Amino acid sequence: MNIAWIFYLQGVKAALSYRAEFWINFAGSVGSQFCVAFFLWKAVFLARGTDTLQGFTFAGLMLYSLLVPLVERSVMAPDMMGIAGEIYDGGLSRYLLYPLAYFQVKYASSLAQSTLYQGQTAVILAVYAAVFGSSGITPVSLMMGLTAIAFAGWLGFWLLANLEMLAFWADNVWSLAVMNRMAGWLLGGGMIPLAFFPAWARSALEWLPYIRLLSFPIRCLLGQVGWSEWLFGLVMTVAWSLVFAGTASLLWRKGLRVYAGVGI
Amino acid sequence: MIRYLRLYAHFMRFSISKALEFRLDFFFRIFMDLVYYGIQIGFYQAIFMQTPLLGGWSRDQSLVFMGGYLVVDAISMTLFSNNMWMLPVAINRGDLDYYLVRPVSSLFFLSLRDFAANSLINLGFAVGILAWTVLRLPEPPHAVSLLLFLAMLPFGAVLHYQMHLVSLLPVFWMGSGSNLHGIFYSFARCMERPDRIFTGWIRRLLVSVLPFCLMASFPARVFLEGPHWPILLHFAAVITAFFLFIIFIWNRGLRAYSSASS
Repeated sequence: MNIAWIFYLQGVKAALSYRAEFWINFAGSVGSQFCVAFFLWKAVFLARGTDTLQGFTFAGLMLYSLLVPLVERSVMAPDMMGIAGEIYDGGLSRYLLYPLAYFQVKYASSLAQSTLYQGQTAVILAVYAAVFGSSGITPVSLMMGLTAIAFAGWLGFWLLANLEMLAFWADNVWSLAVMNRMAGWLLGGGMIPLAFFPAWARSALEWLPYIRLLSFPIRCLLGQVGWSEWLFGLVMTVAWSLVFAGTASLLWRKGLRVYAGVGI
Repeated sequence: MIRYLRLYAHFMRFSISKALEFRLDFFFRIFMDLVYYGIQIGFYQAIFMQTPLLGGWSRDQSLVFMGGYLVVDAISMTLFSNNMWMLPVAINRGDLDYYLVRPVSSLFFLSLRDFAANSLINLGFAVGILAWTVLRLPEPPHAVSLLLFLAMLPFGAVLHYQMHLVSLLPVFWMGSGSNLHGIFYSFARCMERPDRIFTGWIRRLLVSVLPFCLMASFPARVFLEGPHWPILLHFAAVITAFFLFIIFIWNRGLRAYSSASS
């Protein structure tokens, strides 16, 4: 059996080893984020006395707000991938001793979590569609959105891998991962849709990687993206992924030179 | 009491010397919180491009509220957060044994032993942001309201700690506590919004059983709308009730604790 597949299955088992916590955490985080967004936008719509804001109806904003935590969990691993920890405690050595492609193994584990979260997303969307109607989500938009999520997951992996590999030199990189998450949350349209940003900010954000992690996949799911924009978005996602994969490879080579293998 | 204060002084000394051993991480953490502050300011600026009022507050008033919850968050990060991160691990791995045999309150020791020196610097930034937001107000603040506001914010941080602790205590009965932090921080986002945007039973929940809306909203209301005794009494009653509840659950948890791999 392919090594990556074995690690993928192990990742699924690890994620499900504490099932009650897994589902409680899922319901708690998605439910609370949606609840805060619901009341925030309700207050804004009431104060403004309007039916639409920046092209969003209240129902549309609610669907967007529901998709944010779901897509975020699929593309940005909630915890660090363990690369930094393995550098600090010497666990990296086992990957160096055996004929394993390190990033392949790590990506397989990360993909395992992402797959589970995508499954949760599909369940929630199905429930939403059953209760409130499709709200612009069609089989085509679903296909475009899930493809964008898969590509975004790859980008999210390389982005985080770069930060974690700074552990070869830095004492602790946890704070960098948190900063990355916070930046993705605001600049990727997690906190509020990017349509609410000034035009100059939207133009600038279009060229940053964060928009590909959240806003772009969500807009694809909502059917707000045409074919040409979808293709351009995927190309940009791949381009950023390749940039970060390149820097990760560089950091890996340089980092191994200073790696002391503590804990062997 | 004096013994506990002296013990806390030792905690601070050890924590500061430990933090300064890892200087790059120390500065990363300061920068991380500054990013958080920048995001919060950016968020409120973006929201007020769409609406003149939020939960009955204008832009300037909402920014004072925001400054208040940044201070609450910074105090909580400085005094409690690092300790809360380690609490489930200590219980799960049986490290709690080392605290139970010491001649001081185990809850005191576990809650306060790690003082986050980097967050103390961020507390300075948060206070600076709060001062900036207060000075932006079109009318000068009333002295009594301002003093009450400043006095209530540390208690908001205590309530933040209490809620964090309550969210973690199920680890005594569950196998792992790693996801409990995630649930707490998801709910803690309610603290970052004015309490009056919430309505119905959710609002009642958020000012009583899950009192995230008390932490910064109630102090801000006292400041912006004048001292109001029911608010002050409500605030004090919830903090006292949670203190008693925590003592009760902690003692029940210790009875269920079976050392390593509990």
